[in-house]
Amino acid sequence: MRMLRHIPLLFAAALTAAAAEPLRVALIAPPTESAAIAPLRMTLETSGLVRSSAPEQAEALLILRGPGPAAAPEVRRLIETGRATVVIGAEPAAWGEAVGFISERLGANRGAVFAGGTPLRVINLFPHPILTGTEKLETDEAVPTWTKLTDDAQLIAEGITGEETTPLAWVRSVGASRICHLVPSSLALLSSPDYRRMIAHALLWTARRPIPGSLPTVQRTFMPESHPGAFAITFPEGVGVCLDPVRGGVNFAWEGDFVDLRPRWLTKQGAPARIFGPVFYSEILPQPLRAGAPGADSTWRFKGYVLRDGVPEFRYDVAGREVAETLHALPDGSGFTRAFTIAAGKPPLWLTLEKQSNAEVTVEGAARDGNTVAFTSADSGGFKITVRRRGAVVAP
Amino acid sequence: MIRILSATLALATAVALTFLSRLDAAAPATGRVTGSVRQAGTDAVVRFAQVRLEGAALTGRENNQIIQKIGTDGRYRFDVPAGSYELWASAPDHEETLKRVEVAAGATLQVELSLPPLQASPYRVETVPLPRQMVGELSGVAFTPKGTLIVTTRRGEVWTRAVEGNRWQRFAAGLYEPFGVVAPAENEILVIQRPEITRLRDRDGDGVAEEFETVADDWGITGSYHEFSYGLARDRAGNLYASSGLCSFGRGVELPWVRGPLQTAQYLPWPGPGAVPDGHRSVALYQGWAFRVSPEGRFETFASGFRQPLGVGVSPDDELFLSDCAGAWVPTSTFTHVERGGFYGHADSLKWHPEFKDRHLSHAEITALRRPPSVYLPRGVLGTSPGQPTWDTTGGRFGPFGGQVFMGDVSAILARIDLERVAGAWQGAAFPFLRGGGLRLGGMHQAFGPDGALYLAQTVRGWMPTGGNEGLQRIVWNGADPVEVRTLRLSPRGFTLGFTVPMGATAGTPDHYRVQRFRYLHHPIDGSLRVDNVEVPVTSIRLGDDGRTVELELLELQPGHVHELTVDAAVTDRTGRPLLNRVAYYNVNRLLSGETQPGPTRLAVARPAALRPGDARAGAEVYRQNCLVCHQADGRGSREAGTPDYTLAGGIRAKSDAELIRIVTDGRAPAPPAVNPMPPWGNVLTEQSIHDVVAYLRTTFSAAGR
Repeated sequence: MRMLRHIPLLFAAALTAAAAEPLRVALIAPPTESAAIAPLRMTLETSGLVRSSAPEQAEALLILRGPGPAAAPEVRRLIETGRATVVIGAEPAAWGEAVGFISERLGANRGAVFAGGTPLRVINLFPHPILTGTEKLETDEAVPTWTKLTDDAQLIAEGITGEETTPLAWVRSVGASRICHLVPSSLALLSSPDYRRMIAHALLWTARRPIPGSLPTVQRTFMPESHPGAFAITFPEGVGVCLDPVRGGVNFAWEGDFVDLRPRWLTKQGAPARIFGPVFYSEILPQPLRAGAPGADSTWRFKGYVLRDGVPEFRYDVAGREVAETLHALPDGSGFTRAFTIAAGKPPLWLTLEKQSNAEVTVEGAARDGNTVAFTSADSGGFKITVRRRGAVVAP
Repeated sequence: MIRILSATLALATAVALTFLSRLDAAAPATGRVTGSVRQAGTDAVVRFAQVRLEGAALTGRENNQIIQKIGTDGRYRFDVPAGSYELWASAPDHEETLKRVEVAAGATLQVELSLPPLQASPYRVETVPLPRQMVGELSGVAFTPKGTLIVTTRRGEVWTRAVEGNRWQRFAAGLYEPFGVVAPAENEILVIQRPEITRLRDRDGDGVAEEFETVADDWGITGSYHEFSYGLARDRAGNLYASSGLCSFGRGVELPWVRGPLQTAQYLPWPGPGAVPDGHRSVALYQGWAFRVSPEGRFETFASGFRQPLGVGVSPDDELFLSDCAGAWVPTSTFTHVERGGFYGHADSLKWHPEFKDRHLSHAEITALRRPPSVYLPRGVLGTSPGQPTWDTTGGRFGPFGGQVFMGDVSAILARIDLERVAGAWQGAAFPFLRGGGLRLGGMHQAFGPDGALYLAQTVRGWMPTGGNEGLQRIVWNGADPVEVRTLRLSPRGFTLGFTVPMGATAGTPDHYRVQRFRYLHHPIDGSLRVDNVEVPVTSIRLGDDGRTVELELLELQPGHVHELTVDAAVTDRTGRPLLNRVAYYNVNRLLSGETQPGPTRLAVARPAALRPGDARAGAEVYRQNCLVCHQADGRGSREAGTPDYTLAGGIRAKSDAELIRIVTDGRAPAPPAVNPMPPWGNVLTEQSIHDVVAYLRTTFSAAGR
């Protein structure tokens, strides 16, 4: 701490009052970056989501390039003690003796300038809560290539020139702490509202704070342990659900708000999409929702889905009876709900549950007998399944 | 013998290398010839240009020549013994240029080489700018009735470009590899994804889809690395047409999550030795079938016997046509009028056929069942994997080809097809329309826009190099008449050619027309050589008074044969302009009389000539037509296509001619992580052509690696 007082850290001014306890953020940058610091300071002062703080009191660190060799040991200590961290345009030389540490922490090695400095032809953003509200990034800056990303690095933005791609932004979890690296760092970009919002969101995400306006993401792909064309539904609360419209149920749910589709994009098809985080719920029995009698054969058709404010409502035809299913994450990220809405019709519906060792499954609005849920009314109605994982929850 | 020859060549090469390195040290007996290669009229550097210096003073080198690839600076330089040389420069889409030069000892000769572009086409290829956040793997293109441009991407997005302001907007995301799109209304877009046909609707008018209705998902999918659902086409009644390609099963992938039944055994077991040469199989329900979905959503199978029918089109008369890609049972790519209940060749789809699934038809029975394609697309000249057929309904805004079919290809080729109904069935001729000329690879989906231009959606990921080869291009006609054979129609004793413009007297000379006929073999191996290839003499010719028609009479006309027409370069229009394209392939399934069976012939099929040593010059053309798109003009290959860098030390130089010939002939399994095998060409190229192309590889890319 004594050392920090004497090193040239630049702290933004206190933020104006925010709606809900803005995140305390320490802005750390070499003093030579005064031009770039101004827009970052503006981010902290105007977003309403974050405010500046001294490093020791900060919940998150916002580091432009690096702290400089003198401050590097202290900043390293802060990161190691679990501070949420967002690094913009990491510059190994600005990390002094902590250069190895930051490479290890970011999970990547810095290489030469990408594509010889040719402007990126494509800047592709992946669905992630950090990118909430960000439609595009525009920069012509030469970016360095970061190579050898560790397997647990979740790439959320990439640049493409010719046949080559380079990571532009990724996130990692190391133990309970999170880090995000945003590679582009031109002054023009740092001054753009889109990028400043993205930076604020990155700070919130690394600090496990909710991101205003973030919505679930629905992507149809080739998921592990699923029929081709299964849905990956990722909720910003930190829950991922794989819904298989062929089997007719949730094949599994995992702790995570992101699914990596890049394995699908390498060649003609590639490997299944990747998920990050442990699976806490799974099913495998064919067609768990049936009509008529428990276990009886009945027809099943997937009819599609509707997005309502980003929340998917899936539609099925079960032996002529229309069923809609809406998925929501639990607000604390500890699980999810499946709300079934059933049109009037004759055949009763039966949903088979499977025994879970890492989740508790509860039913509202329908009778449950062991692992069987019955909806026997011929009138329209509905019932709700809540799946809550067992054990400690780190939200979101 | 070949090994000895190779060793001799290697020794000669080594000697030449040593010699040249001395020359670099400015030995007094040498001189320098240097300069640049530019495009005539523009002074621009010409992509993929190469310069060849040839002369007796280079004795000891292959063909007495040195070849240099021209880089981005356009410069070349040779340090060579004094003497007389021919200096050749060539490049795709340009006329070859020759200069004779005298190189004096100790002197530097500056020679600027100027390459005239091939005759300017009235069709201009333009690249359509895309939003920077879109990965331009465009897999479908359509226009709404009011002209909004719709594209799909293989990464699962649908984008729209408004008519006013050309503003792009992402309409939908999160789809599973869309591969085709139609837009019957402003707020209704239909997409075929890998698992289903989906109707997307923007319910609140914000330009973004909220509703994703499953229209049909009645065919099987397995999750194999190579398995595609193709389409989409719509007739005026609102019926949708799509197709399912075969699963690439040859790599033995596990398929634990199949939608529908799984049948991995072949319908007709491979009769030959060793592994099945083409691993594409119909392992899941209706793979290799075309299907139709009614406006009410009723799914019905429509026809069978396809391999990779990725071009699905409906004619202005609401008839279904499919293109299919060469491979087992499809000897070269095809374009076919598809009738309900028809079977079109690939045996494996029969395992789902209600009548034949349990009968296990023999090869002969399958041959009898097979209906012929309307048009064959010879591999190379007309591409490798044809895409979506599109009828010119622009009312003349795309030039003089109204009613004809345009069809892209994974290679940089756009074909034109002129169909006619003969004795009740569609058949006709395929012409090259554009080759290169700025056209990129992967243009497998297309649509005419409200501006009368043809828009091509391009993607090659997984097949060919992606760099600069993906996105959206449009082809615009500038209003000038192209000099082309517009139509090639069957006549009682030959063909009638219709030209786009009045032709000069040279068009009336019989010697300026060469007709060959041949057949292909439909069999379970990849590709087919031309069978029964024979030249058919032109016995009479009549040039119409208006210069727009030529009647060709042939010595005989036999059904069941492809007829290749080649027009001599001397044939010009009345202002002296040559034809833009001089070759066409008419598939005579039937004569005007309706006869489909060949009769007795007076023409004898020539026996193959004795094998000559490989000719690198002939091989260069073989390479350009068949190899270039995957192996690249500079021979350095592509990571995306999984093709090797010939110029590396372990490349061409590390392999004997015999080994190279074997690889070209028999193909080769991919070396991981590449997934694309080298296909066998032994059934496509003649033995002589294979020797020629190997000679070209040896002379060109061994040199490039120094």
